[in-house]
Amino acid sequence: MGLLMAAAVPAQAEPVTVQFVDWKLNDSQAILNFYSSVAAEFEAANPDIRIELVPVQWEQRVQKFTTEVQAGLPRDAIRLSKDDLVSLHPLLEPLGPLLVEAGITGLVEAMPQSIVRDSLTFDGELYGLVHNVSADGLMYNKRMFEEAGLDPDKPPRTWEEFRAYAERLNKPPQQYAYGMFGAKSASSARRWLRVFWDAGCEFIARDFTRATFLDKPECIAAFTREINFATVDKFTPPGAASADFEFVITAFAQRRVAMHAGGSNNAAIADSRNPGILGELALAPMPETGAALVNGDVMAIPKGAKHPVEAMRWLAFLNSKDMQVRSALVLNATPARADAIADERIQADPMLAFSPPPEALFAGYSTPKWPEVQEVLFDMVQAALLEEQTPEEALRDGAKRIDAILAD
Amino acid sequence: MNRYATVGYAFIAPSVVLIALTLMYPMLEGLNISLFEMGIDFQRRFVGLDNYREVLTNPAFWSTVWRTLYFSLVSGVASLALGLGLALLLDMQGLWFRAFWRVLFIVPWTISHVAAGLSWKWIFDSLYGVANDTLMRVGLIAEPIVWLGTRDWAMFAVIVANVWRSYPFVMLLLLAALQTIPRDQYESAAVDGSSPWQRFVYVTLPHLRFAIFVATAMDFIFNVRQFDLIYVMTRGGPRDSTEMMSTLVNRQAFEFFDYGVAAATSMAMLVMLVVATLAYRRLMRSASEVL
Amino acid sequence: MTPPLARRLRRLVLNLVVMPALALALLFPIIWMVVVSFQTEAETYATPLVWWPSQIDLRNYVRMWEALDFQTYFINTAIVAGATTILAILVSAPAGYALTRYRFRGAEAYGTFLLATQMFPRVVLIVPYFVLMRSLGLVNTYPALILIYVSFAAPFCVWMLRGHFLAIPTDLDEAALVDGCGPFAAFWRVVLPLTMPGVVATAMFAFLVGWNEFLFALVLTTDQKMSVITLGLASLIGEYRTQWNELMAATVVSSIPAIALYAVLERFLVAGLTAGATKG
Repeated sequence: MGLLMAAAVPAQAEPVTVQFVDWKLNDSQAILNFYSSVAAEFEAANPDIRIELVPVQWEQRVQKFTTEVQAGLPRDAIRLSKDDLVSLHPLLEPLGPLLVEAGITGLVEAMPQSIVRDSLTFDGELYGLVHNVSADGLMYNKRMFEEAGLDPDKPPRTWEEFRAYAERLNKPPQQYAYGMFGAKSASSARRWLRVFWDAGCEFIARDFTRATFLDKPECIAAFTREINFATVDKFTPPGAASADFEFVITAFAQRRVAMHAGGSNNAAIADSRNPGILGELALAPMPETGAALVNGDVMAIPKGAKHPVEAMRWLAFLNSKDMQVRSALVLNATPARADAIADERIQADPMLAFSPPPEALFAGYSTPKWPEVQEVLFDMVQAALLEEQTPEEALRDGAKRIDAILAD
Repeated sequence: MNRYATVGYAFIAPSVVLIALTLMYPMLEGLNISLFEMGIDFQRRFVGLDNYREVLTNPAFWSTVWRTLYFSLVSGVASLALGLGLALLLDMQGLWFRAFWRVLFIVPWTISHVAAGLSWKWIFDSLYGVANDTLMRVGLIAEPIVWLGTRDWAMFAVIVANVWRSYPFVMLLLLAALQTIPRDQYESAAVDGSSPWQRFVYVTLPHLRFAIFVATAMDFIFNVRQFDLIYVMTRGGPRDSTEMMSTLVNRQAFEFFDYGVAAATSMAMLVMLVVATLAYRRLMRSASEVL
Repeated sequence: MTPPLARRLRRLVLNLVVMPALALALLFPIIWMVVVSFQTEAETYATPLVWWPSQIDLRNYVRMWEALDFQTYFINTAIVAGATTILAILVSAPAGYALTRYRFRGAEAYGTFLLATQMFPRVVLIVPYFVLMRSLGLVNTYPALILIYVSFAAPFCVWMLRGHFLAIPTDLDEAALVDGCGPFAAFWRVVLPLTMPGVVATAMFAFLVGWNEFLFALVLTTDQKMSVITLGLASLIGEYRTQWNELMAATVVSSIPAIALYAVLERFLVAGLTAGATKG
């Protein structure tokens, strides 16, 4: 048996090791096991390549990645968050030539063009493959709806309805209608951009020259409405300015918050904190337009990688239709490929199959200045939530600072 | 050079070699980068003192300097009070299980900053945290306090967490220094009929002066550098209420990828800290002939 | 003098009221950490708070230690922190001694310089140090971490020990020199043993620098087999989910070596070493 195996592999071909850096490997034993088995399948099909799975700490993934590239010791492949690529793409290899060299066809075409592919393309070059996508809907607790005398199968469709629902769901200090994300984090930035997008407003101009959220009165009104949910209507638990994902999801799992903007993954997390609550949860498009910012996991190849072509083959394998479906089931995330979403295994789970109306999706602003602009966005949100400025004052003040950043 | 001085140089030689080997190059490189514009692609463009001009003319930088100073000083005074008080208690005659207590009170120092920060964040959670739960049960407050989501309470919370994590260091340093006080000095003072307070002021404090200087100066440096705890608890928020030099430099380097500006901010911080330490040393020295 | 009755009363208050109350107040977060380390995730997040786990559940400890490979991290961290402690004392003790006994040019400035090296934000030092270690071929080795940790600890240790050398009468060194000891022997054999309380405090400090450092370990270890405890702790904090129970189990276990070390060293934290020596 050993002899046979040895004979099957050409004598001189020492397998190439592809290092794949991924923070998800730390998330749970199930995820680690899943990717280990995928790696084993890939190695069986490609005896010339060995996959080394390298877990990384989520918070430090960017720091670790940038310092390694800077010091000249890049890995071969890496998982990043889609939003990371806005600043990090100069440290990545363009995928076009590698796809050709590895002889891979049809893979990019399978990814949704409008949102995901475009947002990973910089100066005409594609830098990442989308592994899965997440776009928020209105995540709510059906049992709490029933208890408030609301029809759990009829989530609010307009902001008027939302307010009427919230008033019935709001029973402070035990129960609050709405969980708002006011603390600094990339995911809360997406939720605040959604507020503007829903009102038909761009946050900054598409040519990244200036702030545009003061151009229309609807934008100011939408922001004011959202802030007022916390400061005037008191639909949110006190302290929205420090409410991060951990806070909101815990309050939601404990039935102290009835609704929040979130994706399918939130339901799974709530269920791990309060086992059994999953059956009470439902996901619907956000009121009015269903607007949502799209994020997702992206797989890319660091600049200067030692084995980029082999890494490309590994990433292509990971993002085949079947692998996207299987990983989606393990990660509780919606696959990116249209053919994977259509798969019956995904369609069987309404949370995973959930997608906001395609025309209401938006991928964010791909300018290297975005991290600085986002910092101003948080400052405006928190200034208004702390009631140090009125929502309009905060916007006017922020617009000046954003204009200065973009003009620089 | 006389032989006497040569011996002195020989004694410090290992530390000189060590620093030259490890920290010299990174520090000089940091100084160097502060003169360049350097972004995510690591391409360097010489800009002279532009980064310094940008940093020093930014009002947000100065408010962060003052905030960091406030955080560090308040934490430092509280750690000193707690550390000195505990050191004296642990050195008291008639204390039972002395070794047990001495070990017990050191425990917070052994907890990693990240784990400590997460625990305090949980304690100060406004909805389900223990701080509100306890205060409401005792009847000290009627409404839950939003600890981490309001300006003043957020600063209070990070100071409490920081003091909790740093008092054992001050305590241990002073406890060790207390052992160097010759006991006969206490005995003769006791024979003179002085009160415990007089013995503390006239015997203990003068002997502890150098140790207090070292403990407070080191604690101050740790406080200024404190990053993990604050980042985990508040990320510098809400707004800029707990933004410190450390969180600012981290953001410049790893969120904005503005390495030149991050290096310039670091150099400015270094200069201010050296000046502050020299001034503090002069102050302590003028109060004592031992230093 | 205080009358004996009042003194006894004061002693009772100290031992039965003051110390337990202080311990409860200051160690409350530790108690909570221990409780959470035995709970399941659902219990940790339950309302109202569950203070007592339904059963003493060791699964978090087992998972942390075996599945998450903290065993390896412990060994690595112990090697790094142990070496840091020994080297930091060996490097800093002579320097601290020289600054109190020898007046030479630049002595004061050197003391200040040592402190200044620790005032530079480390995020700026990290990449140049990484590049330096790479050119020396030391990435993923213990020396890369030990060297930098000694550099982080030793400058402070010099200052911590300096005060203890100051407290020892110079007559002792002079007597040793007259007896024919060399300057190093006078320091090493006569003076250093008398500064044990200072050495204990300094050793604890250096050990914890090596034990709890995070940033440099993050960047300098690219091989999982070289990983250390703080990195293991951070890997339990995920994008959406912090694995609280394993994290607290790991935190509890990882604080034990430092506590044990201190429990051993604590006996040297006693007065009278100097007094005895001067009499002898």
